Amino acid sequence: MQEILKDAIKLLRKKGVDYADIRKIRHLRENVAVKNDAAENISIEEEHGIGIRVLYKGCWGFCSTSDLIEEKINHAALEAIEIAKSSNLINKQKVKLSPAPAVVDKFKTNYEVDPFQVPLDKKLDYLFWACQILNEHENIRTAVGCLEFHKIHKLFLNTEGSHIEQDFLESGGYIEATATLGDEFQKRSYPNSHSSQLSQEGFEYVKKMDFVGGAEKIKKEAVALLRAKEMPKKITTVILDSSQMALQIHESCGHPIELDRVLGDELSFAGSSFLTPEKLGKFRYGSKLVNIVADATAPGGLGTFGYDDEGTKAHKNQIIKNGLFVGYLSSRETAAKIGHKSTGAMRCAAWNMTPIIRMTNINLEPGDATLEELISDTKDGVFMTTNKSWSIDERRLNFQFGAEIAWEIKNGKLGQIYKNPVYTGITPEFWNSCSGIANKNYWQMWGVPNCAKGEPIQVIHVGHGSSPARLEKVQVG
Amino acid sequence: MLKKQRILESLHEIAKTRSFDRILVSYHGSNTWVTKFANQRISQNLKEENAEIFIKVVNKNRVGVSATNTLHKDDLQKALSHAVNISKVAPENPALTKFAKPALPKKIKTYFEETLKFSLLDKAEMIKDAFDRTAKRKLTLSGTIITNVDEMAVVSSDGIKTYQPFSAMSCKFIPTDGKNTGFASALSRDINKIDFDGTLELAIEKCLQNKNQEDLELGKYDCILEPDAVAEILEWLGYIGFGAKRVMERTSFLTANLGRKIMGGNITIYDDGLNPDGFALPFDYEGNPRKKIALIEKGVAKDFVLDNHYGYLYKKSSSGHGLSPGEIEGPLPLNLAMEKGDKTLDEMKKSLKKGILITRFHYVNGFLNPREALMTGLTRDGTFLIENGKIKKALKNLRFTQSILEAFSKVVSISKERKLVGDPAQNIGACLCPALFIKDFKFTGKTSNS
Repeated sequence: MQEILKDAIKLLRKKGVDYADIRKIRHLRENVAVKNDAAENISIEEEHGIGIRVLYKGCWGFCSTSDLIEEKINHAALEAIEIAKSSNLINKQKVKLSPAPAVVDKFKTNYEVDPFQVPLDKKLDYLFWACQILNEHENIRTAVGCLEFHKIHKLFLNTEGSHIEQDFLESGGYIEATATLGDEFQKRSYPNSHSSQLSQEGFEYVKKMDFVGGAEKIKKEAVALLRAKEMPKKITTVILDSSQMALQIHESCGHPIELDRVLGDELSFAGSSFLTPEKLGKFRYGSKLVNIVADATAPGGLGTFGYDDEGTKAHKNQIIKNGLFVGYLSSRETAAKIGHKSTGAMRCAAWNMTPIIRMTNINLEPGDATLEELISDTKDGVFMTTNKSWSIDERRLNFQFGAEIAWEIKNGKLGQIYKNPVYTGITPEFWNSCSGIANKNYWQMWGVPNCAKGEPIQVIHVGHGSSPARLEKVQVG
Repeated sequence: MLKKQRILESLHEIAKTRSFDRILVSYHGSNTWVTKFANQRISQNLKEENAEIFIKVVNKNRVGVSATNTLHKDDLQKALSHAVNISKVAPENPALTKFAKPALPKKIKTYFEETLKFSLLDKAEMIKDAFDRTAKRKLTLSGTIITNVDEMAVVSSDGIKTYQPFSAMSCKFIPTDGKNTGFASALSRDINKIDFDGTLELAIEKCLQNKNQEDLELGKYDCILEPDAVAEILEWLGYIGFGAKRVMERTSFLTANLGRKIMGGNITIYDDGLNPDGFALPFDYEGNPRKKIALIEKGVAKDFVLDNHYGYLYKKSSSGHGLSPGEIEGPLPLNLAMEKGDKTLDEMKKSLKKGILITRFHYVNGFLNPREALMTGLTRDGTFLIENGKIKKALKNLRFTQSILEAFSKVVSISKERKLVGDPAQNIGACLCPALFIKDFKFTGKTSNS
């Protein structure tokens, strides 16, 4: 197969492309889902194919095929050129790429236990055990447990001589309890909500997640929420746990730093960004405590790789430095437009999709407080955990997030719980109000497996590391 | 281009294997051409091929599911072997073992050859013309033109053998003056039903009107939601409430409300995969013919959609709304429609003394409190203050936070025109939506365009 792909690269060179790359991707995934005392889905899905992207006379064309034979691959390569030619009828400005070295290299996820070698009954036993604990309370109507595993092989070749092989392994899952009482229902999830917490590790990560311990905790909280008060509307101090911080970072920092949307290329769907180029290096995004990096080298992150999907080596780039906005996520094309080098953020979600700028691991660096100190230092406020809802405008300024549960903070101590907590704000005002970030002992990498962007939509896995953080004068309720 | 014979033969080859009790094989394949443009240039031009072939095997009361993305014999055999192996060790669950009975789905034309004849060069010429027209108005243009062909087939050991091809085309135009935007879109299975020029002109008009945006004091306002805004809300209602799984888990707004009036008497919402004017889908991924299901009838919570699994649990037959065997979302309505009213959109605008006209929403979220259908989201690409029936000024984008049950109980009028709203590169279904004049819609936040 490698020889066929090398020949396809030769063919593309012969046809006079400015640049071309080929990605061959094979993706194996296993899903095990149980609900109460029944298995709801056990499945193994495998897909493979080739995506070919060409830059011909300054215009892009992309074509894909799952027919892994020479004739079909060459046909797809020539079709990609024809697609690019049609753009040539219009485009006056030709695409230029920032320079990148040719690379021959390999990358592999570090892991201990291959989850695809772990017997199914072991996975089921673990999930049923957690669900049994959740179902011990009569108000728990639905107990759900899921595990999922991904094994991805990527082979990348380009006309500049790069040849990169990468093997990724992801493992994870979640449990969820839905408690009901009359017209009320409340959900609690563990370790995170919205259908999974994944890490770039082997089955050993499943053991680390401790579903059984988590089940005891969320069972009690879900039931307690049934009789809890709604959170009162007020402007107050908010402490967000690290999983909610992950989504806050994702929506209000990760997306607006994507340079394609900044430059207007995503206007028709994802939207634009308030972090326009003249703000780079000058705009006070957050308080001096706020340091955010795009780190494609972070261990376990879903945005960790050796090379992105156009062959740029994984970087750790500063995005926000002591509160100042200093960096974008970029590709070779968009970086060239602002006179920079690519930060290595071109990723495709599947073999049949063209790479676009995506988040890698966008991480808030830890502060120096303990979570207990953040709470004890707060006279009046709320502590929220686990995302329930999310919404933000197309420029990524006005956001509203809901959490599964909140605790009142009174005179430095956690008090009663509130149901349906919501907070809202404007991105720079919010981050500038950051008055504390918990230290590295509280820092956790979260795997977000459902980041959607692009047309056609590409759902990709990204990572966010964060500790809990405290924000002042936030509208809640 | 269509592969009917190859698909059915390959699926039949797998389905005739007999090392287990029963088998169902579903196929959904597509070829999608997306030409995306921004800043007066084509920024992305691609063909995306995709296929999902699901194999569901039943051994006694044990079920195994697998999937592959090609019709190659080796891939199908490997997938079959995965499904069989799972079915040998999976716990028993009779609710998952129910299969559809063979039935002939309604014959509906869903494939229009001419739609797929619209070439890359045709697209480029159309976009060039659109660029010229927007440039004359001192605007630049973003958007997409998508053509798509889907093929669905289901074959089972119980005798199901169905196949249906689908064509689709959409255009979406977002002109901008660099600060403000407009929006208009069109979607059809038949290219002849798409008015490209009219759609572009509408988008340009919106953009030109959307200047000098001002703030508005937050609070309740009468408003008119245009069909794209209504579609986003309907899709969320479908996801959080109209499927049997949500009802059974008691998280739906239909839970404990069936037979009760939960919306205004002028609201009727149904799912109809058989409407040729909609985005018809004659059968589901389990091979069941789709039924038209009244979900809300004259404001009364009437019904929800079912697949084989939830049909078994509810002791009813499937309504033909099953998703792929590997999905755990339960059945979902993919062809939601709201009954039309008796006013034109222009008449509705003229009848609005003071209120807000909303082109479409962005990032709506319906998880706040699904039992009340409480949702939040932002306006986008044209939000206008109307006074005495006329647009008075453009407004900065607003955030709403609103129970949709409450909002749909305060609908003053419904347009007689309905629009098909969907993304053919993403979904095989689409919503058929009118515009709505709603009283006292709650706006809870605002944002800046600067």
